[in-house]
Amino acid sequence: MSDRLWYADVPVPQLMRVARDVYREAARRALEGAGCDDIPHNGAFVLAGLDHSAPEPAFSAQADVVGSLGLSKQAASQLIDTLVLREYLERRNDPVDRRRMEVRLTDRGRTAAVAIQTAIDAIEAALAQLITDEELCGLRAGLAAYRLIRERSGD
Amino acid sequence: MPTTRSLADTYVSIPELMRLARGTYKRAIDAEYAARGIDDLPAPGGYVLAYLANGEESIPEMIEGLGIKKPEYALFMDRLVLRGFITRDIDPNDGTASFALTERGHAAADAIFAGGRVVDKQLESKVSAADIGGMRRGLLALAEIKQSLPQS
Repeated sequence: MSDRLWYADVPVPQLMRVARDVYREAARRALEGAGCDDIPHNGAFVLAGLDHSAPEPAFSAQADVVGSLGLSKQAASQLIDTLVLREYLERRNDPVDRRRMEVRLTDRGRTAAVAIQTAIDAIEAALAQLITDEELCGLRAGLAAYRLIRERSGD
Repeated sequence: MPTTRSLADTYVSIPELMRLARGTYKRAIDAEYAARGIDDLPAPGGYVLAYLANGEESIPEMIEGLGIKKPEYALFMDRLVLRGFITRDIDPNDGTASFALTERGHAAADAIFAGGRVVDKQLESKVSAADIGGMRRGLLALAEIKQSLPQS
C-alpha cells in the first residue's frame, strides 16, 4: 500500500477554487439571512475589514480601504460608491485634511459585517476540528506566500 | 536587527488570504498560454483540459464542482470543440459522448502544467514542505466543509 497522502496530487488551483467557494457560499447565506443580499463583488471584504464597533464605528481613510483591495483604483472607487449608495457605508471628508475621504460602516453595513464574521468564524471552527494547528499554520503560510509570488511577478 | 512580520504571522482571515493569493496561478498560466499563442480558452476550460490530459473519467461531475451545472455542460463543451481544443465522439450504440484533446488542446494543457510548475517551484522556495502539506490539507478540509453544507 502506498504511503503517499491521497490529497497530494490534487492541483492547488482546484483546491483553492473549491475552498474559496465554501466561504463565499456561507457568507452569501448569512447575508441573505440578514437582509443584505445586494452586496457587490468584493464588497464583503471591504465591510469585514472595517471597524465594527457599536454604536459609532471608527472612520477609516478611503485610500487605505481602496489600497488594501488590490483592485484598480477605478474599480475600487466604484465598489466604495456602490456600498455608499446601498447604505452599507457612510462617507465624509476627513475633518483634518478635507481633500481626503473617510468611510465607516452604517448600521446596515455593521449588520452585514457581523453576519460575514459569524459565517467565517463558523467555518474556521469547523476547520479547526478537521486539521491540526500545524496544518492551519501551513495553510496560512502557503496562502501568504502566493500573495508574495503574485506581487513579485508584477501585480 | 529589525524583524519583518510576514502576512502569515499577522491575523488576516483565511478568505482574505485566499483573495490575496488568487490569480497567482492564473497569471503564470496566462503567460504560458501567450507563449503558445492561445488567447481564447473560455474559463474554466483550463480545468477541463487538465482533467482530460490526466485521463479523468468523471468530467461532468468534476465540472459541476467548478460551478457549471449539468444543463450548461454540453454547451460549455461545444465551445471547447468549436475553438479546437477538444474533439467529441458519439458512441453509436448508446449515444454517449466522449472527448479527447486536439493538438491545440494538448498545447493548452501543457501551458497549464508548465504555469503550475513555475508557481509551485516558487512556493517551495518560500515555505517548508510541511507547510505546503498543511496548506493542501487545509484547503481539502475546506472542500469537505463545503460538501457538508446543505445544497441551496
